[in-house]
Formats: sequence, structure tokens, C-alpha cells
Amino acid sequence: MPTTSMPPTPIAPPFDAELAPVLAPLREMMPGFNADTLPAMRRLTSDGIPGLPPVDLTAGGAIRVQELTVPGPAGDPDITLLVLSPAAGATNAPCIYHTHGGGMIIGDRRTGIDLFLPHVVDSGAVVVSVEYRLAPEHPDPAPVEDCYAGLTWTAEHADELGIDPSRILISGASAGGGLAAGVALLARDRGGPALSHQVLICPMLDDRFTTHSSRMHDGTGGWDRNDNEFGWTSLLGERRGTDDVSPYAAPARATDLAGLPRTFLDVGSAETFRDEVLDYATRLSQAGVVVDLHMWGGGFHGFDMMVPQAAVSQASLATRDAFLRRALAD
Amino acid sequence: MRDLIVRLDVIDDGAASALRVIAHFDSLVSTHASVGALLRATATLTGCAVGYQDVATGRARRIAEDGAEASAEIRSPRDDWPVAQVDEDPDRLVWLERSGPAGPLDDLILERCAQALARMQTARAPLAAGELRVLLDDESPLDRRAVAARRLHLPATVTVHAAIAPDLGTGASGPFPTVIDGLIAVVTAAGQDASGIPAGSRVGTCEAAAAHGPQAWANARTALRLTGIGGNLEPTRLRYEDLGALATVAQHMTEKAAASDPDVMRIAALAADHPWVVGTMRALATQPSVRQAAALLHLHHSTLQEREALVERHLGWSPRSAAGRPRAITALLLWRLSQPLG
Repeated sequence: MPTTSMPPTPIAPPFDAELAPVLAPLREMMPGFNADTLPAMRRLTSDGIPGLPPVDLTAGGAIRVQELTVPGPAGDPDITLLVLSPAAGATNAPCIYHTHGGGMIIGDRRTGIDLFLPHVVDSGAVVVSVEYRLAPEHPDPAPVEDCYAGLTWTAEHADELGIDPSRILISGASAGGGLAAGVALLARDRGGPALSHQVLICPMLDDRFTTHSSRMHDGTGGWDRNDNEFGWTSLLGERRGTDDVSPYAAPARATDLAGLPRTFLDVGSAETFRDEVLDYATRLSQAGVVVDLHMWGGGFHGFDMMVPQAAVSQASLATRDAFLRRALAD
Repeated sequence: MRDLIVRLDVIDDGAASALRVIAHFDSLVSTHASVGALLRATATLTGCAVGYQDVATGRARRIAEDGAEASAEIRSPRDDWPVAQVDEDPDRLVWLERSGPAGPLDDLILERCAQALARMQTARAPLAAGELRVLLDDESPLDRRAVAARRLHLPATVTVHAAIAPDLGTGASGPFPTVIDGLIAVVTAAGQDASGIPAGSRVGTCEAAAAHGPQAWANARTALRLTGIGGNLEPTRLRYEDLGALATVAQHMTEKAAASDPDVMRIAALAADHPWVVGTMRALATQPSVRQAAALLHLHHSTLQEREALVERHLGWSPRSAAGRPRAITALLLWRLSQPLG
């Protein structure tokens, strides 16, 4: 359903020819997000597509899988951390702290985790993925504070987890990218754990709908402006788009980006988040942060996860993978 | 992506998945995705490595089941692998490296891939241009030319058109024609006009069996050499089949030999200053009277008389005398053959 609160839809670049054919079946499986479709979407992301075997998190026995219950933010419930470490054990290993995606409203600690399995196997990294509370049942600041609580626990228990607390990078895709950016801002401002990198994969950063790209998809593409509005409104309620939104919830609102960790950003040229990512990359650079920015022509939101075999997806995946390998080797 | 397209678990026993497979390849064709994109989709949807081989061009691809480019060492399918011909061409094959039990949609996916490859072929102008060159090249082997004719969807008998546009490269609309050796080359079904040749072009044509493309191309060029421009009272379109003895003269007369004829040299020298010379000589040599020649040229007859006097002074003979008429027509023929094409 087109929303009436937004101005007309500006022009969007075409989708890559190899990616475009996937959009129709994608819409068929995941129609627009709203209160009615939300329960089914949550089942789909948590249980996986019916009939498909779940991802083998042990990678055939090379990875040790643990679930830890650790304290949440003060006064809030405990949170669960999914910890993946090399089966052979870890000592002073680099750590990928993962905040999953799903528009702030769906997904769980396993969502998108398969991206990092090779780094556990090949680079000996430890992956910690946090199960945060979801909106709209748990609006801001619950999600970002849960993510931050998980990070501080991880850093404080580095020895126990076999990780080097000076080599923790944070990564997330989509809403998870927004949460990772928000956690990085919190860590900076509260003097929390030092992060080595933030790897923000097509991140959801801005609740305001003032950029061109945030309005250019209405019923098209993977995560259109209606989905995005539902996600942000679930997180922020009446506050969405007002002055009463913190930069930890919507990092695009942060005016001071100095002192943030080295940043990797990627985004498709044909997605809702394009302009907020380009703007964040520009302002981080202007604040003196080292930034790697990749915009992939014709990519829709999450294109390289949905259509990994496409030429542009292979390029995107290889580029991100190479960055992670370098970051973990540093 | 496989999860989205091929969902066999669902209640519809695979019918919906089959429709999604068909829609997927249709969509890849309509978005002009590449050959690689088709092969990657096939590998991903079947969950199986894919091979592709085109004997004629020597192209071979091998795509692993995750869509990654694999080494193309395996250049032909094993006997037990499922294989499909592209465009019913036994030298153009796509196959799955599937030795175990077949996936439920293997046949459909492979067939759709082959069809999409064939449709893409006809949709892609650069490939068509390449095939056209092969068809008309006397150095390409006969069987390769037959493949090219099939890929261009040509019937057994064709018309080869060779053309020179009045101003090639400007004002052309529609698909840009293929240019070979500076000439526009078009091949159509026999007897058909060629679309894509700009209006006002000089055109030579020749009909032939498709496999004899190189000879037909040479003949069409011969016809083209004998065309000229309307202002010179020359024909702008000629069929090789109508040339008769003119073809024999043209085939034995190089530009250089024609240009070395003394009459041709005098005509060329005169035409350099007076571009009307060729048309005027032709009118004088072919019309019964000066008055009729003047009417043909849309000139006042006194103007034509002045021009005739100038021509006669330079040549030393009259194009309108009994001996001069055949000499003028032959000299004009040689002058035309002395003009380079393109």
C-alpha cells in the first residue's frame, strides 16, 4: 500500500539485468511488511524457508557452537549470545560481533550468520551474534541497548571467549548495519569497548525520508519505502522523523562522526538506503575516519544475499570478504 | 535464489516452481542478461555445475554450482550427463554435470536455458554482425557458414545486399547496419528489400544459396561498382542477375586499369572542375538530339550546347557523333569502374 504521507516517487536506476528477475518471486514470498504480515515474516526468517535444511553452523564440525545467556541492559531481561568459535579452540582470536538484520522487526541471532562461517574456519575468528529484542513490542532503545550490552559483556569476557579485546570488529546488514553503527557511537560516547572496524552492510541509518533514494521505491525493489516506514515506525513510534530521535537509533542523525572505527560500507545503487549510506560515508571521511565505500550498480537491497551467483553479487561478496579477511588479519 | 524459485516442498507438487523457472528465464531474456547470467542461473537453480560449448566460435564456459566461473577444461558433455542443443544446433550445447539422480526440474531448467540462449542470440546485434561476417567471408569453412546462416535464421536462398550510404553514419535511424570493408552488408531472404539501408544509398544485390555467401557478396559488390548517382544519369540500384556482359567487364577491370585509360583520365580531369561532365556526356551519347538531352538534364539547350563544346574541346572528339557515342558510353563505364568503393 502506498503511503499518503510521502511525496511522489522520484526516479530510480534500473536493476541489474541478472538481478531483476528475482524481484517478482521475492515479492511473492515476502509481500510488503505490515502488522498483518509481520507474524508470517518472522516465522519465515526464524524457521527458514519450509523444506530447506537449516544452515549447518558447525561447518561440518569445524566450528564450536555455544549459546550463552548474559545480562541485558540494567533493569532489562537477559540476552542470548550465539558464539561460534574454531572447534580447535581460540586464544587471542579476532572477534566479529554481529548484529543481525530484519528491519528492526524480524530475524534472530542466526539471521545472516552464514556470511561469517568461513572467517571462523579460515581466519580463526570468534563470531558473537546477539539476540536483541525486536520492535514494535520492544521499541527504541531496547534493540540498540541490548546490542550494546552484548558487546560490553563480550569485551569484558574476552579471555573466557578466547578473543583479543583489542580486535573486536562489529558488523551487521540492513537494520543490523544501523544497529552496528549505533553501537559504535554508543561505545565511543560511553567510553565502552574499543572497536577495530565497523562493517556496515547496506545499513539502515535514517528514519527521516528526506533523501531521494529513501522515496524512490514504492512497491518495487527488496525493501521499499513502505517497508522502511513500517520498520522505523515500529522502532520509534510517534517519534519517527521528529527531533526526538537519538543518533544511536538512527545513526544518520549523528552530527559528530569523529573517533569512530575504520569503516566499511556497501550498498546497491537501486536501493532505499543508497543516499544515507553515501552521506554517512562522506561525513565519516570528513570527520577523519578511514572509509571503504562500495556502491554496486543496479543492486537492490540485499541483492548479494538473494542472488549470490550474479556477477555483481560475486564482486560484492568477494570485495566484502577480502576486507573482512584483511581486517581479521590485522 | 534457488530457495525462492524452486520450492518443491510446497503443496502444488512443483507446478508453481516450474512456472517460476520459466518466468525466470523469460525475464533474463527480456532484461538482456548475458550468456553468463543464463548459465549461472542454470547452475544455481539445478544446484549443479553447468557446461556450455560452441564449436563454431570455440567458446566454452563452465560454471560451478554456486555460480562461480570454473575452468573450462571439460569441453564436451559426458554420455550420462543431461544435455540440450541450442537452436537445434548440434555444435552448440549446454549441459549439466549431473551423474547421480536427476533433480526434479533438471530437464525443464536445461531446456529453458537452451531456449533462452537461442533467443538471446537473435536479440543481440553484435553477435548477428559477427555471424554475418562469417557468412560472407570466403575464408570461413563451408560448415561454419551453414551454422551462421542457421543462427541468422536465414532460408536456403538469400539476397546479399552491398550498399554505400550517401553519408554513412549520419541520419541513420533504426538498427545500425553491419559494415564490412567500408560497405553496408545486409542479407535477407531471397528477393526481399533490405531494411536498415539508408534511403539514397547505392545498392548492389545478388541472389544465392545461403552457403554461397562469399560469392554472392563478391557479386553484389560487382553490381555496386556499376551503380552511380542519379545526377549522373547512372542507376543507383543494380541486380547482379541483370548485369550480363557488364559483369564480365567489371570483374576483369580493376579500378587501377580503368583509371589508366586515356579517355577516362581526360574525363576525370574535366570532372574535377566540372562535376556535370559525366551526366552531360551520358545524355549526349544516349539521346537522339541535343534538345532531348537538355530536357533529360533539365537544362536550356543553349547551356547544353556550351557544355558540349567544352567537352569536345577537351576530349578531341564528340560524344554525340556516330563514332563518339559507343566510345563515350564505354569510357563512362570505365570511369565508373575506376571509382573506388566506400
